[in-house]
Amino acid sequence: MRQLLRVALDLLLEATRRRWVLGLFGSITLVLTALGLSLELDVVDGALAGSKLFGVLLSDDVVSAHRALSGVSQAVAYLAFYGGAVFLVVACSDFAPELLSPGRIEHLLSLPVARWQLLFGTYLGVLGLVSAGILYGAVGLTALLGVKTGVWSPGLLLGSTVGLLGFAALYAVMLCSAFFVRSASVSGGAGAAMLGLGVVASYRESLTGLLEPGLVRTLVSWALVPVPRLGGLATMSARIAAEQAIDGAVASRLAAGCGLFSVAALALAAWRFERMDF
Amino acid sequence: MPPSRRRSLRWLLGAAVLLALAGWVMLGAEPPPRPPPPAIALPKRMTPSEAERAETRRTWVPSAEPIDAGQAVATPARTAIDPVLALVPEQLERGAVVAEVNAIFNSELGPMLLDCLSAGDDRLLRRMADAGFDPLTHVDRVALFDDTVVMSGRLEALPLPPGAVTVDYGPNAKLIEPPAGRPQRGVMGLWRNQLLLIGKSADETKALIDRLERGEAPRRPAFDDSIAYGEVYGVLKPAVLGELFEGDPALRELLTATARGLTLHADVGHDLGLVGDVEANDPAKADELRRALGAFVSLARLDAQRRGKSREAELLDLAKVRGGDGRGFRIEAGIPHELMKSVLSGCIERGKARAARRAGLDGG
Amino acid sequence: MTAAVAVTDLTKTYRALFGGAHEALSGLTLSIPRGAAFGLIGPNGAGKTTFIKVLLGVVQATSGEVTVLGGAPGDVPVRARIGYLPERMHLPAALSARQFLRSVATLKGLAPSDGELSRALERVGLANDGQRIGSFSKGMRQRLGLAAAMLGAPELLILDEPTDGIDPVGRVEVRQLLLEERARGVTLLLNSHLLSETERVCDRVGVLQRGQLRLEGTLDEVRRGATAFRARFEAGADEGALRAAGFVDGVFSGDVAALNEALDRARATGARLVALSPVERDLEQVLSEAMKEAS
Repeated sequence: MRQLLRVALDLLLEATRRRWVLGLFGSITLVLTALGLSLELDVVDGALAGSKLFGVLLSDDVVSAHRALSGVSQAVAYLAFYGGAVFLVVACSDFAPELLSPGRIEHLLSLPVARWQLLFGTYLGVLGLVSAGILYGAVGLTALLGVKTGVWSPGLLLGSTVGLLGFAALYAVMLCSAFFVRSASVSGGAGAAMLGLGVVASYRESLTGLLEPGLVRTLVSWALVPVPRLGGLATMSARIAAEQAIDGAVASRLAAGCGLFSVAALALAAWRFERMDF
Repeated sequence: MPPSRRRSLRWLLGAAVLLALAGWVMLGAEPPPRPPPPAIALPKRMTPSEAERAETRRTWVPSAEPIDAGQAVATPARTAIDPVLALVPEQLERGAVVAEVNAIFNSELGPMLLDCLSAGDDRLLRRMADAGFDPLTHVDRVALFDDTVVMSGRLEALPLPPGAVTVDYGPNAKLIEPPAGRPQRGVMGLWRNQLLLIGKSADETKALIDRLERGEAPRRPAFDDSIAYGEVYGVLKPAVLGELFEGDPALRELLTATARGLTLHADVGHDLGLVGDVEANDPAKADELRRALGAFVSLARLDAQRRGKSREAELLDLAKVRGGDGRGFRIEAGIPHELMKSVLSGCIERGKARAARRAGLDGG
Repeated sequence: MTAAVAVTDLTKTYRALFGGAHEALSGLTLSIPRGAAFGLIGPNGAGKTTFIKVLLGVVQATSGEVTVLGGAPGDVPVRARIGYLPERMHLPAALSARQFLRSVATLKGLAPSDGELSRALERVGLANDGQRIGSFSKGMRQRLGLAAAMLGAPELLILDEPTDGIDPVGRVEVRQLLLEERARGVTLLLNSHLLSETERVCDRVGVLQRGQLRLEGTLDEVRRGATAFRARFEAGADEGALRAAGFVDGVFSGDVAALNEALDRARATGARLVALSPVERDLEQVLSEAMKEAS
């Protein structure tokens, strides 16, 4: 376990010295700054009297700032979930292929680190890095909206943890794919495909209903069963961000399923890794 | 097997177990499956029983054909016609619709439909019952040909409006004249106690009776007995179709300019299944119209969903615009049985409430 | 005392995805005693790097038995006692040499002080440790890789082309380092194309060709070959008779029994032997003769 954490920490330390981290945090800062400068919220006595984005009037209804913020948080959570997922899939696509690059993997494998520790450590390292990015973004947004409206809500922060869970499944697939084809574009493609599949899986019953009854429909329906319900997680994240009630049982099953799927993908990667020659 | 291979197999086994576990856990966290759309019987062709029904409806009347001079005439020439369909004109302005009332009233939904129709005011039904006339068994069909109303059945006990006077017209018919001073919305005629005809004027009613007496059917009727299937059938002309799309002037205009007519069939027995075959003037325009109608239905469905009107959305979900052979296309729609029951129950309740209010007013 | 590396009947076959196989190592048997400096030589594609990777567990043997420092290759505790420099080392460009060394030390379970890291860098001639690896020359990268391999005083040092890219002066320094390590009692396994380096550092060599060990022994044994002798006869000996007896330009090729028979034949012609010595070859000759024999 100690070695696993050492690998994760090593990856984190190395990443912090790369331009990649500057890019990640720079992009988040840029989005926050742009929002901060362009979003005008006219708050009068705790009520939102109007809101403008880039000078365009979004709404001039007078509503409670808390209620208005709930809608904003929900929209931001959806945007952050899907937009963030796409951004991170692209940004993290070369970590695993880089790990397996000739000259590096032989050296790492000559060190007293088991292959599975290297795999899980890399996974945890990337997730650690992404967590820091997500936390930075969520704290920044919470502060931005808090300063502008006077309403300080932890919803976005809590909702972002669900976003991290969704990315955990995506990255597990990306990492796994790298052990079959060592390519950043294949890794990124696998992540993007997984994101799409995860949304499709969230509406499995309805969407497979569109197929003609028969073998194909049955196969597709069963193939989607273990796929994490990323669409469902996005909704969960948005509801938490908006401080709306969620079904606890459903939420825990979605989260547990997503976690189990991630570990399954990593176990598959470990199977492949253990058999590989470099 | 080398230890690394054994280790790797353990990972593979673990992956399979975890994947199965993930699937099992998430199966319980899915939104409930959308129920399959209810199967609605759509009247698409004439059934054998409907063909038999059409055959039994033919009745003998003197033939309108000229008799061959060389033929010995022992008995007058006769011809078999369906007296209701024989009255379908060649040209229609608005449309012609025939309702198989007997089949509808005696179907699963029939009693509720009758209750809905009469719940507000059952005086007419009571008067009919007093006269020994039971609409459930004595009325066969009701038809509307533009402004002409035709009712067929066993009508000998049909109660006449109070004060009405009957005047014989020919050997088999009589005209029913309303009491003097009553506003006259049409002139009724009764033919062979089988057919009640309501024309716009006495002349029109007489003309209809004359046609029946002579066994004279139009050469090119607006529709014939080949479309007499389903419980409601007929032809609607563009003017009527346009009225259905008052809110969409562009579509209305396209419809009235493109459609020659719509042949309608509806099944009402268990659920409501509706099939409309639109015949167009121009194949290219037919396709345009088909797409426009399809888009209209889709948008209406989305709009209903947006407004949270799930029942409306569900109904629109059942509506389909299907491609045709180039000369036209087909529209299918339906209302499921449960929804029909719920709609009719609402109608009955509202009628009863109206009756109760009226009784209260009368009593007060 | 067990051998540092013991390999019996080692075979490694690479199989292509769609049929076809390539046998990189076939029935290799070899033992490297502890404390030895073993030089692995052979032409390109002989299986030298595959052999090294098998010892590290980076490549898995198809069959045969392999023991490294008394354990199985790839065992984590065994790997903790090995230092390895790959042929082409991929170093993280964003880190400095010190940061890289600390990262390797962490993964090796070591916690070196700043002073220890500085000494490790100075030892390989990398004093300016604030510089990013991305701007390093090939030689500097190689030196850093060597420093990483030597971290934690490993018992077995496996070096694949350690002087590749290093200038002649640097090579002398690296050679000195390796000799220091030898003096410390480290077992050294060296794979180098520079046969002179191997000759200067190693006391044992193995010639590998087409996955098989063609020749193996101490440097003297291998160089001597023991199959050729240079003879000097008294002046006036009949050159033609000597050639007929088997001495071409004074050199006889054959084993000791054949040599004695040839000497008898020469003496019968009246020639008198003055001096006899085995012919010594350098590794280049050894390798080229071994390759000729194999072909």
